[in-house]
Amino acid sequence: MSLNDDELKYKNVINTLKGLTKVKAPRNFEADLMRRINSETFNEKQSFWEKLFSPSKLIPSAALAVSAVILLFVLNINSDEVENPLLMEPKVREDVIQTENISEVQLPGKDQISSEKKENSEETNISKFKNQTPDSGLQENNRGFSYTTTEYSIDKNGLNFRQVNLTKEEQQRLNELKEHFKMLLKNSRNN
Amino acid sequence: MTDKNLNDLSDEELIIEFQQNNTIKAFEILVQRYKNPLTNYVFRFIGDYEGCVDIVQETMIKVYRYKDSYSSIAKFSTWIYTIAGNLARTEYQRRKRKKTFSIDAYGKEKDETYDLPDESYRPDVMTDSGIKDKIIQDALQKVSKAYREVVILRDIQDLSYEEISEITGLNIGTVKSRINRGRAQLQEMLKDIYKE
Repeated sequence: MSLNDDELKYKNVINTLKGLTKVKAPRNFEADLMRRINSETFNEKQSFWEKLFSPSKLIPSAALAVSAVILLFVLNINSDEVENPLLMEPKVREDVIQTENISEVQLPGKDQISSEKKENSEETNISKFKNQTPDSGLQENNRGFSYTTTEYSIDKNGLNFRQVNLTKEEQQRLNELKEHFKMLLKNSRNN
Repeated sequence: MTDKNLNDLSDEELIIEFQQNNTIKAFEILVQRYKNPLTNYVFRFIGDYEGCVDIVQETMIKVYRYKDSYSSIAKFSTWIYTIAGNLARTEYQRRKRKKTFSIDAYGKEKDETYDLPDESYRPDVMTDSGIKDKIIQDALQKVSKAYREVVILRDIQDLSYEEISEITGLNIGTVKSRINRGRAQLQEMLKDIYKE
């Protein structure tokens, strides 16, 4: 079907559409248009930095930053009890201090030792060894007991961080077992 | 260049004058020439007068802002119709999704002050001649969107098949086919009028 045939076939429709009233723009169209263009041009002139630091955006951001700083400051004040583990000095363990001669140290007497509670964690190794077997390094001198560390010096390998507080009976039993094993060792060597 | 000289220029010469010398008067002349045809085209497509005025203003703003994107290879009318058509289609899709229509052509509140449009050109104001136009416009709104656009461009705006092909991005065969289908739908809907 040719173009003219189509036009003829729909002649009524085409004439109807061509007869429609032409819709026009309102009278204030140009005025409104230029007003919109001018306002958009004004908004575009603001640079990126001006937009970033405009009061509408800067004030809420600044308020948020100040609030965060105040909050951190208040929390830091209230958390005096909590120490920064990275800034803490390591605790000095008095029970593993290595000394060469502590003859000047006045050792406590027997009464004082017996009255000490076994769960006292600050009990030193010196007082413990006072009641031990003669094999210990505890020796008498004219100034009291002195403790030489040649046999019982604690080196790095010998550090025992797990402090076990033994009773007198347990210590005695332990020493007996030690002696027994020594005897067995001797016998095995002889054999 | 004087106003008289500018009025004698073609559309393409005016836009070039606006591009090169930023002559606002050249732009205003183009607005004057195309505001009514575009308003007619967009109104017949979306069926809402206030919406169509907004779309035509948006079209002019885009011409103003993106004047440098116009290339003199194409006709200026094709370019501006393409912009208006794209905006009209977008608005149509938006309305279809929202399913909202303007029911008050005079604004929300009676006390609200605004610039009064020229009512003699308002197609939704009921006059004797307007009743038939409204019937035809209602029928046109029922035609499928794809057919409606090309029928309006051909039978109302009197554009050529080549121009319609460039505006819509369709090949000429598809343009002709859609125009005929749109006319067929309209003819079916308006058959009672033709009996009179």
